[in-house]
Amino acid sequence: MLKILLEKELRDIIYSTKFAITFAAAAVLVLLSFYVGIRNYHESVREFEAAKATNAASIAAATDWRQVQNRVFRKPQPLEVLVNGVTNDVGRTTDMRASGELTLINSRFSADPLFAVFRFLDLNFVVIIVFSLFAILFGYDAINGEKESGTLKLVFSNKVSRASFIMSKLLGSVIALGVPLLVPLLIGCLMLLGLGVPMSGDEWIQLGLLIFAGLLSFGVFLTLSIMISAMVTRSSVSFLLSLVVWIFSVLIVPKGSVLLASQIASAPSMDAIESQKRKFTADQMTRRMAAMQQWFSSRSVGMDTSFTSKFAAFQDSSTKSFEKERQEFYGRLNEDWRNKKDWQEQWAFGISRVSPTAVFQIAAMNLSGTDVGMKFRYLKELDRYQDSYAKFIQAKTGSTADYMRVIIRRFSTAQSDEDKQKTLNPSELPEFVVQPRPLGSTIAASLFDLGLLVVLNALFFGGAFFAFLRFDLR
Amino acid sequence: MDQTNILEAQMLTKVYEDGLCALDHVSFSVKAGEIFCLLGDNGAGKTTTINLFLGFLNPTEGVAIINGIDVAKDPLAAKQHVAYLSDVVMLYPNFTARQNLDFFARLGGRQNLKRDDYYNVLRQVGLQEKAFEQRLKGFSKGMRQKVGLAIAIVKEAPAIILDEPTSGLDPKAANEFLAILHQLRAQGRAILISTHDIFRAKEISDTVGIMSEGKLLAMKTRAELEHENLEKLYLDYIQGKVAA
Amino acid sequence: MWKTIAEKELRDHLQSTRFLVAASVSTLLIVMSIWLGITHYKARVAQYEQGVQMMLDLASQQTNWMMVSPTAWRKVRSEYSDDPMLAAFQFLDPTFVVLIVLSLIAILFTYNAVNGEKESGTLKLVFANRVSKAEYIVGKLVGSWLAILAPVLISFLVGVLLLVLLGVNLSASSWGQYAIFVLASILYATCFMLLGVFVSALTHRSSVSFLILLVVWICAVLIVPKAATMLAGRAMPVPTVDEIESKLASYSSQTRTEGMTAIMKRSRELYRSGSEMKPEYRQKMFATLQQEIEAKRKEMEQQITEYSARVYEDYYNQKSGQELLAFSLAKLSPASQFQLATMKLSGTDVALKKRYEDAMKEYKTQYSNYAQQKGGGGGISIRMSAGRGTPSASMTGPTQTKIDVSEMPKFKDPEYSFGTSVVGAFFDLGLLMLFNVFAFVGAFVAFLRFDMR
Repeated sequence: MLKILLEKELRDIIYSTKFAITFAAAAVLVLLSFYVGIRNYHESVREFEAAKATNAASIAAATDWRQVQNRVFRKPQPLEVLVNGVTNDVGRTTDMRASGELTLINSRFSADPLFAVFRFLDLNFVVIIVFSLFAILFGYDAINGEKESGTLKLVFSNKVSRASFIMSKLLGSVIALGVPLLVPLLIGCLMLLGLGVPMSGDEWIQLGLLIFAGLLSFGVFLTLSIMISAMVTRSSVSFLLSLVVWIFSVLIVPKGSVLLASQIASAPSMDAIESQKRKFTADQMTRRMAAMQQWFSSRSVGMDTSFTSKFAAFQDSSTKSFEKERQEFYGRLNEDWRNKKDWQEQWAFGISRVSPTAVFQIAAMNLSGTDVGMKFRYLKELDRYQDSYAKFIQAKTGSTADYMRVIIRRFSTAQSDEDKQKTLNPSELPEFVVQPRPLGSTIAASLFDLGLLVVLNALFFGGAFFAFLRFDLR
Repeated sequence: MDQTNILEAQMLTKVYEDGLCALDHVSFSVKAGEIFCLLGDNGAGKTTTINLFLGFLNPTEGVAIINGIDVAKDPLAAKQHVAYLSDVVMLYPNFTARQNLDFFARLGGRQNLKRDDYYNVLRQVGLQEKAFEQRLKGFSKGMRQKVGLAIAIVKEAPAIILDEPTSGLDPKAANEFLAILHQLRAQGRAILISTHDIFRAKEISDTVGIMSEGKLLAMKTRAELEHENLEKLYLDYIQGKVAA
Repeated sequence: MWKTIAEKELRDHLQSTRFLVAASVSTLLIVMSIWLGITHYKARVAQYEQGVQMMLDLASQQTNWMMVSPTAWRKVRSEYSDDPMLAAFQFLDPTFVVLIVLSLIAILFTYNAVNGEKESGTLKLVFANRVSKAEYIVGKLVGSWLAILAPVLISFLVGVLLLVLLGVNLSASSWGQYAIFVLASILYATCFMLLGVFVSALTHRSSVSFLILLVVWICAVLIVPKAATMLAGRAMPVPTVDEIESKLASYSSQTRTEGMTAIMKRSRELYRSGSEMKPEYRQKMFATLQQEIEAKRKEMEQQITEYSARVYEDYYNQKSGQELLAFSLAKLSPASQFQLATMKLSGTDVALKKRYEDAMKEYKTQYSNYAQQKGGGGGISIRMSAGRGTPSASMTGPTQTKIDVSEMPKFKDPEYSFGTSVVGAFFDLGLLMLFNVFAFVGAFVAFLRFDMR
């Protein structure tokens, strides 16, 4: 019996005009998002390489490592283009210095505010908006529509149990809609392969999980709208209800939760932190000046050869100690801020998880490494690199002091003119390699949300089941 | 032109763009105080005839005349003189019975009716008092049909066209419905009904026109039908056993 | 006659569950977004003031103007970049609510305006009367329009009330902008309403017209704007900021190196020749050398500034070309017309960054002139005098008097007058109006050709 019902369900959905139109729209959008994403990826890689090359060229043109203004660029990741997350909002370029705090500048959106207006069309967006709408369109009249057309009574004039009917309805809808959706998604994956996007094995697994999460979130909306359809007798009402649920979970709850969280758990503004930092630095500067003055006055130095090296040595040690102090202070400040921010984020995401859309988005961002933590993970990598960069500069120039460079240079150029004929070899620089986040921690980060999606699916599935058992067939 | 012919079809022909001949030279007339029944199965051309009378379609040939006005030439003027009840009477589900009636009465040119006037009409068609101010959402088909009939009556037009009015009504409701039709006939209205309900057609009509595949095969008056089995006659005509 | 129909249409809407649900949702959301906007605005203002105050505190601690680095608050730094959490879900503002929710509601109200009446048989009933098609469609449109107008006006009026009650001081021109924003919202909603009637008069089944409208809505609101910018980005590539900056950096380092070499060469020459001179000549020679170096440096800086101005102008030209293309394409969709109009109206358009950068640049010159005049010299200077007998190094350090911050030039926000904003928005609003006219004509003609059987 279940088989007959299931077959009818599949036929009913797949032969409908509704299915033809909506599926075509969804498929086109999925493929478009993949295509656009891939093009975007190649574009950003090109930009990245170009930026790196110009940076290398400017290093190669310099004659002294102290002249070098080295820049480090964030490498685009393949999965970023499918789930943009915060990637376009976070800066891509860093002025690398041997000391001092590193910042990220020139985010895609601040460099190109044009794109910030409408933002990008990524797979995440398609899943969130289009898949959920797609699910609702088929779910809202699944039960009460059959009642209105009289087929429900016809079916139950036969030896059919309610359980088998609702079971076939749920399974049939999930299969008839989910499997076709898988097709453009898989074609998209083939496009990734065919259009030469280098993806590691880990990334393929992440992509697989991402697609799985997308289907899960689709399933949530499908079972939810079927549940609503089994609780309301008129399809026009259930449609309205589903649409309201959709608007809230897709558009309102995620945004609202962030705003609510910032009311509940406040964190000091970036400006306040910045200002504190500046104050500290200014203070340090004064002390440093004083130390330098003292150094100068403590010796009635002559312009002998040892002066430069002595001055350099002094600068070096003072830079080191000040840098250490600064790092400690900044570290404390950052950590404190980060903790408050974390707390706020936990609130925000906790509240937003009321909406299955937000759950999916959080999972998707975690899986593609474009979650909110990305910026801090990347900054940590930068800090690690800074250490090796400082060592390198130390080895090359004997000093990591930053702002005194010009002075030193004037001395050195004055002394050795054969020196400046030799240009630098940028390949000597230690290479900046971002360690990919281990697969385990990526999955661990998204596991909760994936689990939540599964639970929601089960919940609404069960809800639809029991709602139908109590459905008034008359 | 006979002035007593309120509704008149002269050689009405309708050929659709796709070549389908929906109506083939149909002529008949309905006088004041007469009920004319178009009898035929689905696709016989009954609804096309009505659509031509209401100006929803333009005839390929022939004319449809209401109260002496050619519908194709001046549809708006012609429609001043006809009331209509459609086969689908969902009406406005968010409106109450009275609000529905009010809207259509004003469209029909009766601007200044009072609440009581509407109640009287609704009472006349036999709607329960308590339903007057209820939304149509919860109405049964029979109740909606009554409101529809009230809409047709309230216009006080000389001609009334009813499309499948009794389909889906229970016998009691159908009988009440027919009783009202008798009243309207007594008031001197010309009534055109399309139906496939043979028994009621015989019961109420002054003339029955049997239609099949766009042709009006026969017209029988009440006197002629008195001694004949309409059902048999109908089936014979349709199966082509009797030449037109 | 059309009045009767309009009245019926309005009443039909007002009495429906659909209206009740949709109107309450939209009202709730618009009011909520305005309220959130107000709270957010207040928080931002507080933050701004705090920022300015902190900067001033900091500055007054300092003893030398050269140590002060004033930060012009607002800055080019984005809130999203500081706080990626906000970026993850973006923001909820009235524009967004109108953009998404109001258009959806307009469609929901009208997707079955014509074919729904056919399905329920009322269309035939209506036209069995002395009613012309033109009268009917006009009445229908007016009635539906009023039904949509009601929740919009109510929610924006509540918004006004909120603004007044929560004590947000808006200037007269801001109120003007608010009014134009409401007008734009109404125009936008009308556009989708007309579109809904249009499609419903083109198709005979309301389920089909709903689907078509949903696809149209997705395209207009979600796809076209994004696709347009991406298409424009592809069609007219603009060099990235990184490229520009490294171009500038390499140019300036090249110019500086060249200049330095020249200076060094010259000074070494002079030094060599100077070593045989008498001290008093030598002194003079050093003075001229100093002047020469200064002149050379000025020239170098001039060159660099000019070059960078050229590069940036070129860059901005390219960028505005790209923007023009993107927005022209995006304006195919009424959603982008509305969005662009409101952004211009509120001064949060794409040019915002440019305006602030320009203002900041101006402030920078103003400020450095001021600082120059106050503290003299650029940066910490260590003056070396390498004479023959007594080489000595001295350093000018900070003087010990605290500075007075009130003298400091203040950063003024770039002018963005009511006039500019309205003129900027006017074109887009005109376009939206034009779209309305098209949709109206479309709905009208489609209905005249609608087969009522």
